[in-house]
Amino acid sequence: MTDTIATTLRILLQSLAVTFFGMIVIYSAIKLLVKFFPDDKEDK
Amino acid sequence: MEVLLASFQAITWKSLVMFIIGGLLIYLAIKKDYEPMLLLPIGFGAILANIPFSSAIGENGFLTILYNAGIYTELFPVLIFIAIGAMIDFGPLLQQPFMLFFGAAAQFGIFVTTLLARAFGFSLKEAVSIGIIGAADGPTSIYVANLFAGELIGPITVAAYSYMSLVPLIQPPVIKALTTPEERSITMDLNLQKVSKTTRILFPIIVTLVAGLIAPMSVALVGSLMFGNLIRECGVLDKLSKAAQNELSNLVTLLLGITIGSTMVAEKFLTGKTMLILGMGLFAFIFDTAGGVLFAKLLNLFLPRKVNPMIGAAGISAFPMSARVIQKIAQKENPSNFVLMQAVGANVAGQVGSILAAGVLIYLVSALG
Repeated sequence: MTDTIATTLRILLQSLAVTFFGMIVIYSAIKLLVKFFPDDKEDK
Repeated sequence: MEVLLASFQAITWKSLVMFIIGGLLIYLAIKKDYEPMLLLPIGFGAILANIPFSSAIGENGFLTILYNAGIYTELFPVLIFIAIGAMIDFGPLLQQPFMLFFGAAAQFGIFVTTLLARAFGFSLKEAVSIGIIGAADGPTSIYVANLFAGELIGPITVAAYSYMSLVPLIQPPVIKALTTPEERSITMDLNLQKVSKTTRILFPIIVTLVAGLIAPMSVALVGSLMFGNLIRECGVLDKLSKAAQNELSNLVTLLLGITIGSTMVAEKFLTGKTMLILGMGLFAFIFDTAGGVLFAKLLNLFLPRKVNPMIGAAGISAFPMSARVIQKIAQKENPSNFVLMQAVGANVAGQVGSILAAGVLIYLVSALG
C-alpha cells in the first residue's frame, strides 16, 4: 500500500467529492419524490 | 492464602489508573448525564477487563465472546443502525432537501483530522479510523475502527461518545467565533411543505440504492439505517418499529458498551496514542462545526434569501443534540427566532452524510490493499 501523505490527500479529496456527489443525487431524488408524490389520501 | 493474594499482587499502577478511568466514565454517566447508556457500560467493562486474571476476558471470557460475535463481525453497529433508523424522522429533511449539503459540509472534521493523524505518524488506516470520530456517530466510528484499526477501538469509541455528549459545550464557542450576532439572528422560512407518506416510504429505499451504488461499502450501514426507517414509515409494522426503537436499541447498546469497555486493557489503552486520539477527537468536532458554518456563510454569498449559518453546524450527526444547541443560540440572539426544523433537517442529513463519507473512505482505503 502506498501509504503517503499524498495518497491520504488524494483519498480525502476523492471522498469529499463523492460524498457531495452522493448528496446531490439524493437531493435530486427527494425533489422528484416531492414533485411526483405531493400528497396522499392517507394524509388528508 | 497465596492464591487469594495473587490477584492483589498482580495489580499494577496501570490497572489502578484503568479502575480510575472506568470509575470516571461511570461518574460522568451518572452525575453529568454524559451519554449514560454508553459511558456507564464502557466504564464498567473497563473495570472488568483490568482486574488481574479476570474471567470476563480471555479465550472463554463472556466479554471476549461478545466482542468476537458482535464487534469483530460488525453486527452490533449494524443492529444499532436499524434502531437509529427507526427513531429518526426524516420529515424535516424531506421538507428542505437543501439541508443535505450541510450534512456533507459538516463532515469536514473527518478530513482535517485524518490529515492531522497522518502528520502525527499514524498509518493511513489508523488515521482514517481516528478521522471518523468526526462523523460524530458512535456506531460508524466503531465500524470503521474495527475494520482498519482494531487495537484503537477503545480510545476511538470513548472519544466519539464523550465528545458527542459534549456538543453543547464544544459547538457554541466555535459558532460564536465564526458568526456575527446579525448572522445568528437570521430567521428561516417556517412555511414548510407537507411531505406525503409515499415520499417517506420511498425515501429510505432510494437512499439505500443511491448510496449503495455510489459507495458499495456503505450498504451495511446505510442499508440498516434505512431498513429501520422503512419499518417506521411503512405504517404496517408498528410493533417492529417500536421493538427496534426500544428493545433492540437498549439491548444492543448495553452489550456494545460493555464489550467496547472490555477492549480498554491497560497495556493497550494507557499509551501516548490514546492521549493523541482523545485530543484529535475534540479537534474533529471543532472542525465539523467550523466546516458547516463556513459552508453556510459561503452559500450566503450567492443565495437571494440568506441561511442562518448556524444551521450548517447542525450538519454534524450528533442527533438531536446539535439541533437543540443551534435553536438555543438562535433564541438567545432573537427570542422569536425558530430554526429548530431546519436544524433538525441538517442534523438528520448529517447522519446520512457521515455514513456516506465513511462508506466512501472504507471503499477507497480498502482499494489500496
